[in-house]
Amino acid sequence: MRVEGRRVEQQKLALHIDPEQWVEEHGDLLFRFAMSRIGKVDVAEDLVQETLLSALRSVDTFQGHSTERTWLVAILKRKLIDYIRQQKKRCKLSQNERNDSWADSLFDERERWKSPPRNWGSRPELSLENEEFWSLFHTCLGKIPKQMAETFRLRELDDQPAKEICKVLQISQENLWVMIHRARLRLWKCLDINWFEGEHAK
Amino acid sequence: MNIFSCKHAATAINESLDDRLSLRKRMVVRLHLMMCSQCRRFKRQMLFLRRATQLFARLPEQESPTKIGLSTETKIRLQKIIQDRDDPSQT
Repeated sequence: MRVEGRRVEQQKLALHIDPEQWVEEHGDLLFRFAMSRIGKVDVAEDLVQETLLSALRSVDTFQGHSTERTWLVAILKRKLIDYIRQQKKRCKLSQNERNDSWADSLFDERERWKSPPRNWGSRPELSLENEEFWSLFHTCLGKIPKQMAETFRLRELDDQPAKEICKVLQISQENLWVMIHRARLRLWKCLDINWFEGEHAK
Repeated sequence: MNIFSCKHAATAINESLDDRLSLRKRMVVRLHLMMCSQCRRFKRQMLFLRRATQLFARLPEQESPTKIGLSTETKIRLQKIIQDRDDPSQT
């Protein structure tokens, strides 16, 4: 009986696979996801298309362990990494990004803060409910140098293992952490200047 | 690491976010934080940033009808691709 029950359950889940509905139900979400990681409309659209095609080919392997949406997002994540890997082959890390003195410029010669961290107010978490904050967050992320931002996205947004990222981006572990630190500092400074300096700090 | 260096402390705080801080450094940075309110603030802000980043990562998965999405043309094109492939007479 129990086996029977499980089979019925699996059939029910399998019914949730309906390619005809993918574009309508998940298209926008997949696109937004790709945009938040890549930021180029044409690339994001291509990746959504590749994701759907790849999903079509592997509909049979869908186990029903996750929702259709989670499954599609997982495929998209792999496509994103493939895309970045291909890009890597074309352009090597620029020297500028290797020797980035921006982070050093935050400190004086005695290694103290040149300008001390500003007060962000008593309840910075209120900003997390503000749409403008997220739009700024997106902008700030876009200002980080390319490879630094890629490293940051893969690690901090997609939670990829460090080893995997190093392979994709062809960098050393040491380099990876340095870049993530620098990316965080840039993001921090960008939000600090453009958000917390003014009224939002109150 | 130099106990009086905010630069070192900032690096250590960053490392602590990735659980990569050695025991020795952890002790030094703790001492530094005791006497440096600027770095204490920096640490709080980095923790806030971490939380914001985690939320940002999940933003696209939230329903938001007003936000950006695929253009209508792209949707029609993709829909057609799926239907063509779905059609048994095509295979």
